[in-house]
Amino acid sequence: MIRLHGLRKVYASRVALDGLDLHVAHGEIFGLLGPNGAGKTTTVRMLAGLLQPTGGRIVIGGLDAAQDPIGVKRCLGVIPDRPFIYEKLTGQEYLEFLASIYGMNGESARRRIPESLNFFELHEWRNELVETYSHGMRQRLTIAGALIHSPKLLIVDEPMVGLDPRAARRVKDLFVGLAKNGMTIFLSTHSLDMAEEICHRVGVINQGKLIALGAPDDLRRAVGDRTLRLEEVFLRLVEEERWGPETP
Amino acid sequence: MGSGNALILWGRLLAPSLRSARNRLRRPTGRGVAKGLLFALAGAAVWAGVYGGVLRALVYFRSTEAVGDLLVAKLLTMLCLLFLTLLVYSNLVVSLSTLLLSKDLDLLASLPVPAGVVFLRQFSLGLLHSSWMFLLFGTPVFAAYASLYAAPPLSLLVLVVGLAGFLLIPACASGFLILVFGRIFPARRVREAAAVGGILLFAALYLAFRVLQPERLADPGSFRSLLGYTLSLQAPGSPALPSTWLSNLAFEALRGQWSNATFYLSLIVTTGASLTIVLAEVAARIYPSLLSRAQEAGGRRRRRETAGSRPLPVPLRWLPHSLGAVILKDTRTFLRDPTQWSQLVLVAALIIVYLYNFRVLPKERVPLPTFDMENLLAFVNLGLCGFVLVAVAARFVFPLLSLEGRSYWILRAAPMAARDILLGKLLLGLAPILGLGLFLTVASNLVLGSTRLMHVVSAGTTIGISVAAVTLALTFGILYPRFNIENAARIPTGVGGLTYMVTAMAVILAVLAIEAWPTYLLFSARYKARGLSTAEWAAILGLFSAAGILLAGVSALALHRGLRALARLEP
Repeated sequence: MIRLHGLRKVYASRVALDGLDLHVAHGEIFGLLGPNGAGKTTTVRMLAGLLQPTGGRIVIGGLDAAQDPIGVKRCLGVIPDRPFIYEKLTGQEYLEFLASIYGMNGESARRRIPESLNFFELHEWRNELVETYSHGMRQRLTIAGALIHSPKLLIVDEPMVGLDPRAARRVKDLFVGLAKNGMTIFLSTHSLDMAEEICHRVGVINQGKLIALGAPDDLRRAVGDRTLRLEEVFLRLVEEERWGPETP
Repeated sequence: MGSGNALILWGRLLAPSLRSARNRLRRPTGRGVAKGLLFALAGAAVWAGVYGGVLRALVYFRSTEAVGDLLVAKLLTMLCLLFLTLLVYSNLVVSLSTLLLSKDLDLLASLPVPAGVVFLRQFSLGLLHSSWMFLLFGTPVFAAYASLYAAPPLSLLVLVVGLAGFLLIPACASGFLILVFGRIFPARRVREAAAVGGILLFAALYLAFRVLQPERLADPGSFRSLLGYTLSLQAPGSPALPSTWLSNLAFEALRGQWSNATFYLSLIVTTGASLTIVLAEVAARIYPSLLSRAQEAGGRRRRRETAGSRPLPVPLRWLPHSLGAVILKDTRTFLRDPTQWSQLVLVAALIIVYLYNFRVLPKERVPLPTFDMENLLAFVNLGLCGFVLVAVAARFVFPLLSLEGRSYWILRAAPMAARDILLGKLLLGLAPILGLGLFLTVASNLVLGSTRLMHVVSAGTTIGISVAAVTLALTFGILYPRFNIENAARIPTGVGGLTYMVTAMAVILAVLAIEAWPTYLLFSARYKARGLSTAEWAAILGLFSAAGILLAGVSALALHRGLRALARLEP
């Protein structure tokens, strides 16, 4: 579903991403992990079409993002880390707006919008302006908006920020269910517990470079201790990258 | 807590703002230096322009036999009233942000500092931010008066102290109003109520001031008798108004009348100081509860109950779906934000005054044939109308992209080409500006009674100017986006807005320069009832075409640049 070839991003003189090569399959939940400033959000924003790469290629669903950016965006849903949405629209109007933008026909929009509002427990608030929503409600509305057109690929940056434990559980179950139905999910997160729980594979990125890739068990094997939690594996990988492998 | 300790804390709380300003000055980027220089130059030019213009007018007015000094004093009273009104308005808007909505209030409220000191810190910053405009436009007026009367140096010092006290008075008045509003409404509603109230007040004063026809004071002939004129000049401003105190202080001090000047200086300074002390005392008691209310959401704002998804409104259905959705979203956002739609009241007041000016124009006293005069005015009107369109486009079209704010990611992530985003904003901006332009030219031509030919020339030119003004506004808005500014009125106040205004006005002046000669040729032939030669027709057609090509070329180039910039613009 996703093929990244030598993806690179340079801000002024700082290299944020340095030649990322990656392949994510259909129906896979892929987690991108890394310390602050590693290049996770840059990668997510380039996949979402929000940032232009400095070099390399992004191919999504067989379409080259540089050649056919609109075609690529049509099959994407994007959930950013901070839910900035139009404050003066109501929740329902926001979803109607997105349905129009994604070219959904009236019938499917009429069916999907109430479904989404109900699922994310926003139905009661559907006619309130977004400016009166709490952070968690905005985050749920953003997720509802990203899924309204049933995208093939969902790109998520820090999905659980602002969600209460119950909503977080619902969203995790939702992601697993969507992936089972064939949706690919690419998420960047600091939550290693969540990555361990729902991701089929994870990639660890540090200083713009992919330093480890595989299922959580593969990573444990790579650091030589199958009993470690993913958090400890992650810390060891990042420390090794910084200081070199520990010598006994 | 002693007042000494409070003052020390106040100073410590202000230090970060002062340090931020110092850091900006010390470590400017390359673009920052250019911006700073441009602003400094523009500021100096405005100051010098106001000073020169006012001094010239004062010299002229003072030369009026017998009533020269009265006329000049009356003018100062009117100007001081205008300053007071503007200061109350600007303090109201700025204090609202600094006292109730500022982003650093969370931090300040969590510090072990009395709320009264926090209030004083925010009040001081509000006073600074809302008074700088007065320094730019007010001080050159007083400097011109000082030059006119060759004022002694001591009078300038007296005036500076008086001005400082004067600035405190509208700031305190606004502070009291904000405290009262803050007790009644949640912070978000206070902002909206204050914005709408302030604009209504401003528009009402603007209309009232214009309808009073202040220009008649410079024209004794418009009064029935000399006595009526003199009485009108001698009528003092209300003695209860601080603006009257300031004008009296200035007038007396600049002429070296020290005993009167001391009286007015004491009145201003003691009023300013005592209002500040009372405000600080009141704020110490009620500001903590306001800070708490400021953190609360504005309450639920239920819109019309709807079931299921609705189709686009009929006028937008002929557009592609995504384009219609963007226009609908922008329209709803505009109409639901009182700080936005209330600005339309100002535009309405502007239109009324614009047309009123033409109605009260003393055409009969101009020594030109009526036919020429009306058409000459109609032609000059094209430039004025162009200026109005550019100003309105700067306020409403220039910010269209920046108003996407931090939600801009939604459009960028959506399957919409940059071309469609640009087209949506263009259609949204063009319809009202074009309508306004045509209304202004047609209505003012009707008021002036200009010929049908002039109607055609005006309408054609206005259509071209409207398109150019809108495309340029959009493009400069894209080239200089300000996504972090929530207040739409502040978006065009930076370098981008200024560059847009200068560019658009230059284009309009160039078009009028090109059209002046063929228009004159057409009218003079008609007036003298003579035919035009083939060469003259060719020149007329050629020059009108050149103006059309210039406007079309500028619009096309602007759209091209805007599209390229938008395609590259990352959230």
